[in-house]
Amino acid sequence: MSVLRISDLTIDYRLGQGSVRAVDHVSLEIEAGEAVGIVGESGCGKTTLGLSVPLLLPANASVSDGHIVLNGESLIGRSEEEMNHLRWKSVAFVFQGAMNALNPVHRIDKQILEAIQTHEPETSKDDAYARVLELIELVGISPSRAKSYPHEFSGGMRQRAMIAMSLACRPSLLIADEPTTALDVISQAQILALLGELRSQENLSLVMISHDLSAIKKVCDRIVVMYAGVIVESGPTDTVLRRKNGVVTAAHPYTRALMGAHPDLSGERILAPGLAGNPPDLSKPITGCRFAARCPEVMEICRTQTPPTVTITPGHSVTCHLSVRSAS
Amino acid sequence: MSMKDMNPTNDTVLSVSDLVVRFESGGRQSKKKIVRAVDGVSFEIVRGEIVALVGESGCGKSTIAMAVMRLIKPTSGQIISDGLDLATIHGRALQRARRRIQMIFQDPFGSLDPRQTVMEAVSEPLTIHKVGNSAGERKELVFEALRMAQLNPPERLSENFPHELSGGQRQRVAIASAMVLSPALVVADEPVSMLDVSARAGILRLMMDLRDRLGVSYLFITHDLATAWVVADRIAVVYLGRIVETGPSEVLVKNPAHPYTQALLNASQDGDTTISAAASVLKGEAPSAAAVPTGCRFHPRCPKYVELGKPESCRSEDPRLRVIKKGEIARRDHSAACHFTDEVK
Amino acid sequence: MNDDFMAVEDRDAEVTPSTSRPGVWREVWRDTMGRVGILTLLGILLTIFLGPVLFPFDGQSFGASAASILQAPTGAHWMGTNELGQDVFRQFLLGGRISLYVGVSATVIAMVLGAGLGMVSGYYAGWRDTVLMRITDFFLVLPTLPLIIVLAALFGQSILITSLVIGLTSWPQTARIIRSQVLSLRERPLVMRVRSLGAGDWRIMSKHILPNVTPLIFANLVLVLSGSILAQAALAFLGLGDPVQVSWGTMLHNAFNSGAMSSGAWWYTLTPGVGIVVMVLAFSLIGHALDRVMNPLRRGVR
Repeated sequence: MSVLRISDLTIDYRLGQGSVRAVDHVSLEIEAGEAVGIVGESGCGKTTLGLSVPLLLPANASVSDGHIVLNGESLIGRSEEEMNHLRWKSVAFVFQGAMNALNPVHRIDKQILEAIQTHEPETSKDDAYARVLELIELVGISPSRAKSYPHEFSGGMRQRAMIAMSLACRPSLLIADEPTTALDVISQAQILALLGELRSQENLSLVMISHDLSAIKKVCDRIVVMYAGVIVESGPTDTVLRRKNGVVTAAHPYTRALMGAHPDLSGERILAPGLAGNPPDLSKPITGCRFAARCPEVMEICRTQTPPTVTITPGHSVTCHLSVRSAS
Repeated sequence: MSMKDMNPTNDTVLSVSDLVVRFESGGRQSKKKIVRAVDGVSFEIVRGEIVALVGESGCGKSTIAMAVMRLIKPTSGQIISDGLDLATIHGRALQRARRRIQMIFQDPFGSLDPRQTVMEAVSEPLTIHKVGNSAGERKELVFEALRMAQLNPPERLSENFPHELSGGQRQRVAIASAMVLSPALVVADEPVSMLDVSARAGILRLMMDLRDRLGVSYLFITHDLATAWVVADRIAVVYLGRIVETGPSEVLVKNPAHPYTQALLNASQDGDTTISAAASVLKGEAPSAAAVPTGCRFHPRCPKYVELGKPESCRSEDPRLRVIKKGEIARRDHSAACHFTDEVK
Repeated sequence: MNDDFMAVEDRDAEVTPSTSRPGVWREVWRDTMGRVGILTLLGILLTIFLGPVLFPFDGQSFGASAASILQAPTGAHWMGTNELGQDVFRQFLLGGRISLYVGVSATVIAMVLGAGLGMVSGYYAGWRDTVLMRITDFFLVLPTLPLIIVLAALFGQSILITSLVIGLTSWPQTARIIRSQVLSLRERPLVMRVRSLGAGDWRIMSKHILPNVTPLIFANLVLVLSGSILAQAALAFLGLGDPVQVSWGTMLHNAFNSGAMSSGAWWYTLTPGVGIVVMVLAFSLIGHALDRVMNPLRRGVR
């Protein structure tokens, strides 16, 4: 049984006069112990998608269609109280910039302790504190620093503390939104290594939301590429992001553009072209492919007809007219 | 052939020598600590050259940029540009000197005044330095700068406010306002790290384009070694306030001599075999600039130090930059500050 | 703007008021509290400024006989008469103006001093900040009452003295608020950028900091205004106001002194009392609505 199954999920935001469809009939499935990366740029809907699982959407967002099934239980329509039981225990969420959300006047160990006691009030203080130390060690913080204050930690260490907090109640699924943004390269590598270890050691299912392809490549088995509220490509990370001798197996032009944006140190010393323009305005109806306006390989049909989802190899699918041609 | 090759030796746009920036951290008298943010840095930039300062956050690279721009006053050292020492001048002379060196900031939104239109933002430098004899002339100069920043046609955007533009567009406006005075040097502090990935290449390409066409030089600050490699002619790797390795980009990336550079490279690679390598290579945090280790400042985290059996020299002697491989001119030497660069990597 | 609608992805959500948004007043109007405040204020202003023109009761003339003292409201005297036989309603209309004048003058003094010092303090930081903040602290702890008594004793009681005292004791709050806003603004890359362009301090303060602080000044101004009116009323009630220019507070003072409360002449105390409450309330409502409208954090994230 899959840990998480999202089907046809559609989320709209009410803004002033109109509404914006941030997520448009997205489906996604995650098995136990799997790590899936959701990549896309700002405004693509990946954070909204992530927030929807623990039902932490802002007040002006509403789920207009679709289902979310976590460990066999359907989540849409549940009350706040019911969700409070599920959050932290079945699914934990590490927010973007969470490391800056630590309470500056409380020590780290106390904050983690609080998280445990809030969600598992039956636990005795001693047991809870033992778990705090366990978690701190699990994320690679030296126990001697458990009593430090957040400002005494660097960004990387604070992020580890946040991850420790999120694992307090042994969730089966961890959703991390941009866990490495705002960290320097070395700290990023350390956090990614940590997430990888946690996955295998704790059999944790992981959803990692990021705009950074290389981060996803390092940790996730599968990758889902989102653009303007829809999934444009998904498949095993190795397949989708493979780059060998300058040949790229990613099928969608957007994925290829994203890959090109990060220079390959083992390849040629050139700067890829990048994309002009901006994502479409999602408050207006869209005809055809959402990426058509910026696509370097756009065809006439792209502007008028919504592209179908095509399977390239088992597990690797893309939503693009170009692949229809090559697949047939 | 680019502008820089046309002027291989002289025409130095910026020459920094022994730059030191120290702060006193707050607290009571007894608890005050000296933060050695920049601890003796020297480098040169000639016309049409792009030099990148690469390092972790807190290494001092941004402080170097601020000192060059005189947004903070250096504790000691020289910053020579156009015959003047920017570290010591002030008043009118400083204001005049600012025409030659401009800056682009990391945050495209925070660096623009939300209440100024694009036209107002880009014409402000002209107003400050009294360039242009009439409003019409200034308007033309602004349009020219906007076109240079690939914001075409300039009339369409000129009355917009920053919040009506995308991140990439805002950064182009910032670039236009930096270029409108035709500076000799532009200091770019992480110019693309807050932009969407797909917008980055456009901005970087623009910067390189301006260098090719106008001969403007860049001091490019970044934590991303891969970007520095593609964009810059030379790279200087900064660690805890010092340059620990410097050289032409291809040379430095292909043959990193300093263990820290090697670790940075590992962490920047795409393949996944290297992830544990980077993570194990550098445990823990960079020590703070308030407590710089004795001897080689990198030795507490250096894998080579451990490998070689913790040699005494690493703990007691502060290594200076030594030439590893001579370049065709002194500026393009590949140098590293390590006692053991000859050992097998 | 493509990445504008995601509240959690919004990197730009700072506490700095969104200044380039047009129609701030329109939004205040849409806010219920704001609308009530604006309507009430308009009502009051119309009453006290147009009232005397439309209802030319003679406020000053004394009553013809003892019988006309402290009369309950009648057709001739809508709000009755006071202890001198004067028409209370007319006094109410005239008194409102005095209350308003003092309130406004005090506010002007407070805002000019407060915003000015706050900006200089916040922008320069360093020793200037320290010195100015010590001065601010001094004025902060200065007690209004003893001060006005001393000044009244020295210079006599007048609207000017009252305005001065209220202004001098109100500006520290404003100074602190503006100072902390300016302190955070000057760290913004924006200020560094224009400094690196060669802009001088004066230009930065007047062109870049002040416009971005103005909305905050505005919101604060409205609240200081309501506070000043209240303060004036209180001082006048205590008998420290201008004895000649009758304000609402003075009316209450007179009412109290002439025993109106105990003799049941409710019209005498109620009229100015309600006036004060309503005017202060109107300004407070508007001030709070302005504050809410300008705070970008109020975007409804659970």
